Amino acid sequence: MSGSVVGWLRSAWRRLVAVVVRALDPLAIDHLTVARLSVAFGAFAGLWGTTDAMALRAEALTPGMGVWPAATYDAFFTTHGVTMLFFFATPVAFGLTTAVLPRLVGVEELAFPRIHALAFWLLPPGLFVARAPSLLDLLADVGLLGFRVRPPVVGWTLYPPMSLQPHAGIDLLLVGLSLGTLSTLLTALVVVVTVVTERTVPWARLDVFTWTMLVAAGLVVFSFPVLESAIALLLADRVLGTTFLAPPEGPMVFVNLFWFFGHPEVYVLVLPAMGVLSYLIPRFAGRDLFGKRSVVYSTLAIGVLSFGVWGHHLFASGVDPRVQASFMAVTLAVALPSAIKTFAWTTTLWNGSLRLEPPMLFCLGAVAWFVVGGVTGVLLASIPVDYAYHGTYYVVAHFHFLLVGTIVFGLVAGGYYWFPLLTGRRVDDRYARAHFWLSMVGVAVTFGALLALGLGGLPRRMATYPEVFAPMQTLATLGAFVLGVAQLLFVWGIVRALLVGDPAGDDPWGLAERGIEAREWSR
Amino acid sequence: MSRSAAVETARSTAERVAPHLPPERVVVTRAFDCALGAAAWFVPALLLVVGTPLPIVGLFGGLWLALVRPEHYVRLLRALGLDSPFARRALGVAGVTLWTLGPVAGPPTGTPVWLWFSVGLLGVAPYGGVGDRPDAITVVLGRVFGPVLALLALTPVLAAGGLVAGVQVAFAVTAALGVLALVLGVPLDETPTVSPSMSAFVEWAERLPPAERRLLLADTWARTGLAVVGPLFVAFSIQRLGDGFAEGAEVIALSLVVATVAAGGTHRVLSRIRELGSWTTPLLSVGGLLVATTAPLAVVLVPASPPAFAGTFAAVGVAQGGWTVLEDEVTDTLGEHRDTYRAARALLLIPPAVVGGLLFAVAPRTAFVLSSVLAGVGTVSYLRRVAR
Ligand code: HEM
Repeated sequence: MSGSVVGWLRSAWRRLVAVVVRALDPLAIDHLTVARLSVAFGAFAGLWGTTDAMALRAEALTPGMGVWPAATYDAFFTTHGVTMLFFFATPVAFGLTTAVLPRLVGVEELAFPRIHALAFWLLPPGLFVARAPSLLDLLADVGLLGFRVRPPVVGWTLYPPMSLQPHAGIDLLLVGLSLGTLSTLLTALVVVVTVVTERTVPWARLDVFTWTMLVAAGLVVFSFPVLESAIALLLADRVLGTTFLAPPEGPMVFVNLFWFFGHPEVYVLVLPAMGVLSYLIPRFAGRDLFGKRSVVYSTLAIGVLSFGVWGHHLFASGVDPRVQASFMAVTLAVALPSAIKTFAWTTTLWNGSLRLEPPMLFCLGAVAWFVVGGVTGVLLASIPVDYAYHGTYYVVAHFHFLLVGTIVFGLVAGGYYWFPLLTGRRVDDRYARAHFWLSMVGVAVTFGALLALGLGGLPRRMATYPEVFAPMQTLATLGAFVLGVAQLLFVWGIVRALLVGDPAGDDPWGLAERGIEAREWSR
Repeated sequence: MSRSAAVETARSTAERVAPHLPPERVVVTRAFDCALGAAAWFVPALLLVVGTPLPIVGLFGGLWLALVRPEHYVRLLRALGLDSPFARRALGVAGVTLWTLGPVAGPPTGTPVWLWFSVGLLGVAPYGGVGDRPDAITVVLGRVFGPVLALLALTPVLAAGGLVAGVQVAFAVTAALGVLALVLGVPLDETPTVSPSMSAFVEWAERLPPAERRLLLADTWARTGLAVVGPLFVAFSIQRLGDGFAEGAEVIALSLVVATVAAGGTHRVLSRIRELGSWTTPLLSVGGLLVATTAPLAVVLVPASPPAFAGTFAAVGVAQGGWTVLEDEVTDTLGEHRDTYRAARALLLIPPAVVGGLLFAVAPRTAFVLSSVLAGVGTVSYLRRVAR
C-alpha cells in the first residue's frame, strides 16, 4: 500500500510538471493548446467570480451591515458580474468550441491561428486590469500600498452618469473590459471564418453544435463592436473631456448602445450551452436529435431576433408605450425558438435509451433549469410584470437560473464530455456525479430563495434589507455555499484526473461501440 | 536529509496515512469538524447578544454538557435506526443548519432563538464533538493544526462582521462543508454501546477505599466548578474585553488559538513527563486542578487587555494536560464502571450549569467566584488523597 502511495505521489508530480510546462507555452498557436489555455483560464476566472458571489452571500446572511461595508458589497457585485460574463462564460464556451471545431468541420487547423492565440493572450491582462482596483484596495488595506484606488461600484451595466465619475478604478475596469471584449471578438471572427471558408463538411451535414456556435460567433461579430464603441465613448468622456454620454441625453444614448450589445450577449452566452445540449442529448439518448432542422432554424431565428429585443431592458425607463409594445412583441417572439429547442430536447429523450453519464446528467439539469429560467423570463417580458419586478431579486433569480442552471451546467456538460479530448484523461465519475447533485441542490435552494425574495419585492444590489427577508436570505446563502463547495469538488476531480487519471482511450464515451457517429473521437 | 532518508520518511508517512484515504474525504471531514468546533465556542455568546435570558443560556450550556458525549446517544439513535455514521453526520449537518437559521428565523417567526439552537444541539451533539478520531491529517499534521487554522480563519470574519454576523457566516460555511462531507461518504467509525448500571455502580462505590473516593470527589467537584461557568467562559471574556459584545470576539478567537497550541504542546510532552516517575502523575493532576480553581477568578480579575486574556487562555490550554492525567486516573480506578460514572456525571453537571446561568444573570462575578470555590474544594479533596 505504502509503495503505491509513494508511486502515486511520484507520478502525480511528474504529470503536474508536464501539464504546466505544456500549458504555459506562449508561442504555441495550435488550436488545441490555445483552447486548453482558454478553458483553464475561464475556469480560473469562474472560480474567482464564484468567490465574489460567496462574499456577496456572506454579506446578505444578516439583515444589517454584516461582514462588509456597503461599498464593498457593491464592488463585489460589479467584479462578480464582469468576471463571470466576460472572463468566465465566453472564454470557456469559445475554448471548448475551438478545441473541437477543426474536427467537426473536417480541417487540420483553425483559420488565423495566430489571431486565435493573440485573442487568448489578451484575456489574462484584461481580467487582472479589470480587477486591479479591488486587488490594489486589498494591498492598501494590509498596508502594502501607500495609495488607494477605490474599487468601482458601477455594476456590470456601467451606466453613466455614475460611470463618468472621476475615479481611477473605473478607468481600469473599462480598459480591462475592452481587452476582454476585443479578445472575444477576435475569437469569434476566427470561428466564423473557419466554418464559412475552411469547412470541408458540407452545410447539410454540419453538426448542430457547430451551427449554434456559428450563430453565437456571428452575434459577437455584430454586437461586441457596439460595446467596444460604448466603452471607447465612456473612456473618451472620462479621459479626453468629451461629453458624448454626459447628461441629459448621454445616459440614454449609452443605455441604448449597451443593450443593443447586451441582449445579443445574453444569447452569446446561452447559445453555446444550447449547442452542447442539442449535441450531447442525442448521443446519450441513443437517438438522433428530434427535428434537427427546426433546431438549426430556431438558432438562426434567435440570431436575428435577439437584435430586436434590447428595448425590453428599458421598459422601466420611460420609453414611448408604442415602442415598448413592439419590443414586448419581439421579446415574446424570441421565446418561441427557445421553446422549439426545449421541445426537441425532450422529444429526443422520449423513448430513448438514456445513459446517465455525467455529461448527460448535466444536460438534463440544464434543460430543467432552462424551463424555470425561461418561464420566469417570459413573465418579465410582459410590461406590467416588468414594472412590478424590475430591479428586484426576481430578476436576479431569473437570470441566474439561466446563467448558472443552464449556461454553467451546459458548459460543464461539454467540459466533462470533451475533457478526454483536451487532456487525454477522464474525470472520475464519482466526483462528477457528486458535483452534479450538489450543484442541482445548490441552484434550487439558492435561486429558489432569491425568487421568493423577489416576489416579496426585495430590491437587488442592496447590502442591507428589512428583517422579514432574513430567513429566505439565509436559505439562499446556505444554498450558495453548497454550490460553492460543489465547485471545489469539480476542481478536485479535474486536478485528480490530470495528475493520476486513467487514459481515456479513443472512444471515451462508448459511442463508437454503439454505432453513434461522433467526429471528434474519430481520427 | 539524504535522498533515501527522505524516501523512507515519505514511505512511513504514506503507510500511516493509507488507511485514511481518499484524501478529499479526510480533508473535508476534518474541515467540517474544525469549523464546527471553532464556531461552537461562540454559541453562548451569540445567544447572549440576541437577548436570550441568562438562565436559559445556562440551561443550554447544561444540555450541551450532558449531550456532548456520543456514547450517551448511541442507544437512543440505535433504537431510532439512526446510528449509522452517515445518519449521525447528517444529523450534525442538520443541527448546524438550524443554528445558521436560528438567529434570523427566530425574530420574524416569533420563536425564541435559543429554541432553534437547542433543537440544533440535538443534532450536533450526537455527532460527537470535534477531532477525536485519528485521521490522515492528525497523522501528518497533528491534532492542533486543524482547529488552529479554523480559529484563525474565523478571526477576520469576527473582526469584520462582529459576533453575530461572523459566527453566522462560519455556521453557513460549516453547513456547506458538512453537505460536501456527506456526499463524499462517511468512513465507518463504530462507537461502542455502553450499558450503564447505576445500582452496580453505587454498590461498588460504597466499598471504595477513602483515597479512591477522594479522587472521584475531586473530579466531580472540579467539573462541577467548571460547569458553573464553562458555557459562559468565552462569552464573559468577550463581554469583559469589549464594550458589551461589540468587540472582543476576535481577541478571544486568537486567545483560543493560544490555548489550543498550548494544549497541543502539553499533550506532546505529557508522556515524557509521566515517564520521569510515578510522582509526576499527582503533580500534573494538581496542576490541572489549580488552574481550574484560578482560571475563573483570573477571567474576572485580570485587566481587560488582550495579552492578559491570551495568558489566561494559555494557562487553561496547558491545564488540559493535567485534566487528561486526572481523567486517566479516574478511568483506571473505575474499571468497568467507567461509562456509568460518566453518564451520571454528565447528568449531574446540568444543575450547576443552570445555576451558573442564573447567577450570571444577577451577579456574573459571583458565578465565577463560585466556580473557583467549587474547583478549590476538588483540589483540596485531591490533595487530601495524596497526603493520605
Ligand atoms: C456560483 C453561483 C452564483 C451565485 C451564488 C451568484 C450570486 C449572485 C448575487 C448574490 C448577485 C448580486 C445580487 C444583487 O445584490 O443584486 C449576483 C449578481 C450577478 N451575477 Fe451571480 N451568482 C452566481 C453565478 C453567476 C454566474 C455563473 C454568472 C454569469 C455567467 C453570474 C452573473 C451575474 C451578474 C451579471 C450579476 C449582476 C451584477 C450586477 O448587478 O451588476 N452569476 N450573483
